[in-house]
Amino acid sequence: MDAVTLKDVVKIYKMGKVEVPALKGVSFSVEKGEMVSIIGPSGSGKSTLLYMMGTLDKPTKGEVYIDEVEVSKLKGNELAELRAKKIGFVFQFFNLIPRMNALKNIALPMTFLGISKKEREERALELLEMVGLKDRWNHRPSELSGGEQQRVAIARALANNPSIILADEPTGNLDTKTGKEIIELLVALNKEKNQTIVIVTHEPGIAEKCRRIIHLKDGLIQKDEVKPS
Amino acid sequence: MLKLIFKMAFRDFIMRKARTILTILGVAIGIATVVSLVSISTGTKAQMEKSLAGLADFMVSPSSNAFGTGSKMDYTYYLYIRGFPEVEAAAPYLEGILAVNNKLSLIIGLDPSIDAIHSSPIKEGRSINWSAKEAVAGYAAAQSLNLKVNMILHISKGPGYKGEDFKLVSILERTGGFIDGEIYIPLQYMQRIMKAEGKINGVIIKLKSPNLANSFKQRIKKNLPDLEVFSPGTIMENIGEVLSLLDSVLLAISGVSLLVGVTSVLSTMITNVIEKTREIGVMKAIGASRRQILTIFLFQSVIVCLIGGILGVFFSIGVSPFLEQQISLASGISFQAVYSPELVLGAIALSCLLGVASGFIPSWKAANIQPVEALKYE
Repeated sequence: MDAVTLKDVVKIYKMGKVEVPALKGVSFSVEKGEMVSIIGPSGSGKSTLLYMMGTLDKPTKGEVYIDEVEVSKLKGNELAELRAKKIGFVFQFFNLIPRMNALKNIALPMTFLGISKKEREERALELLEMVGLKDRWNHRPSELSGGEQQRVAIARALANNPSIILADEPTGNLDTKTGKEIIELLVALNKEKNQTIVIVTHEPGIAEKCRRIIHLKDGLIQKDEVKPS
Repeated sequence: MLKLIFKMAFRDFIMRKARTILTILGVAIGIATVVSLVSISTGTKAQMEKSLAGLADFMVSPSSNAFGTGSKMDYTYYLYIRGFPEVEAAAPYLEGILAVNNKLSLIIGLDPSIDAIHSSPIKEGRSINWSAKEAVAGYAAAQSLNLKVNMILHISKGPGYKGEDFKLVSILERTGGFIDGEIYIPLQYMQRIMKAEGKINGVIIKLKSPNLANSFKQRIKKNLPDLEVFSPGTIMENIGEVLSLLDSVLLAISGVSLLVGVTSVLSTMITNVIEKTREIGVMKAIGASRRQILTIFLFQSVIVCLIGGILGVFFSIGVSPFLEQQISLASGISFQAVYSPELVLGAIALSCLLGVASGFIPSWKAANIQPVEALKYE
């Protein structure tokens, strides 16, 4: 079963009267349990592609399916619910809510689904333990290192047991050693929990960690390679 | 979810203390202005009703002279009117703004006939002897002129004029009516000071029965066409017109101060939304719906306005003794602002409404931010 499917997705941005194509017709599927990296130079459309998969942006043309549901048919609130339930985002700049401690940041996506406080906190603590930060549950983002913040962000992405985790340059703001640890955490999640993960990166070293690598250039898939297992 | 909204709103306040306090102050001042103005307006109306309730049934005085401070009539009119069959008791009066120990005050000259119409409870001192050079002061007049029983009052046409001395024999209880602001002296001396011997401003009438009002009015109209009959009702109507004009002025002032409050909340909320653009993007990305974002921001704005509203009400009640004192001093009537539960609840409801009105556009904007653009926002 596919976690995400894109069918001939085109995205054109309008800058005044000028039309700038970011994606020129991209089709592929990500199966459940896969770990895929999308690699390409800056401006190749990889972040746009990730946002399409995350339903944060709508394609100008083409279709996006999450768990075989076509996204363009959903209304605003249904989309929000889909994002809360099926998609977990990990950003380059962590994007944690500064005024909340680690536990509350992780519990936030569960709050949007109306999950009880007890359940939220239990789950958030579980996730904190999983990313190795149980002792730091009460620390605010400003009291955590970059690597720790990204671990919290990964835990937050996992909060509602999503079908897919979308990571946008998750190591882009970290030093090499910490970046490696974060990628290892994501690899472990994929291997041990069979978590579907898509990573957007421009670093070949990061892409190499995934079995499947989609090369993107000028808004088109150049190569879709799957390494033999 | 509600708890989260509440917490997020409060965390924001704590993070932006100065801005929040200033916004709350803006709303508090607006609401305090409205509450004070309404309480003063209600107080004025209540005051007028109370004052007029204390008046005699009717007053007869020359036409277009409702309060009798202008044209005068001969004392003989009083003797004539007193004999009308409808009249139970009548009392002549002459009033004027005179200097009491060189300070201007409203003085009424009366004679013993007033005792059959009015009896005002004495707070301190004894009853006046209408044939002696004695005076009685209303509660507010005594306070504003700092008068004490047994003091000698020098009453003259104006500061610096030569006048006559009166012994203050009593100060009246506070009635809440016109009486509070007046000083009474015997009519004959009043006429002498005002150089109006044989003249009065009008006659206070007590009818034998309220049913005789029309017949009394007809008789005056027929026999004394240059005089007019004023009843508390007609006076109330005239005052009502003035008060409704006052109300419109107060409404306009309230409107302006509320507009200032709305603007300050609006600008704070817009700044909040702009500052949180990225955060809104993140929240949307992790599953917050438009309605949830809208509620968070709308709630913030309502909370700010509600706190401002409650503070405003307290502030208004806090300064009311000062306002009452100032108005009493200026008008010579002991004034009391009226704070009804309806006014307090209305003000709090108004502040919530203000929160919704001023927070809606920024909250709507926040709810409709495109997550992709918001996430790129620096």
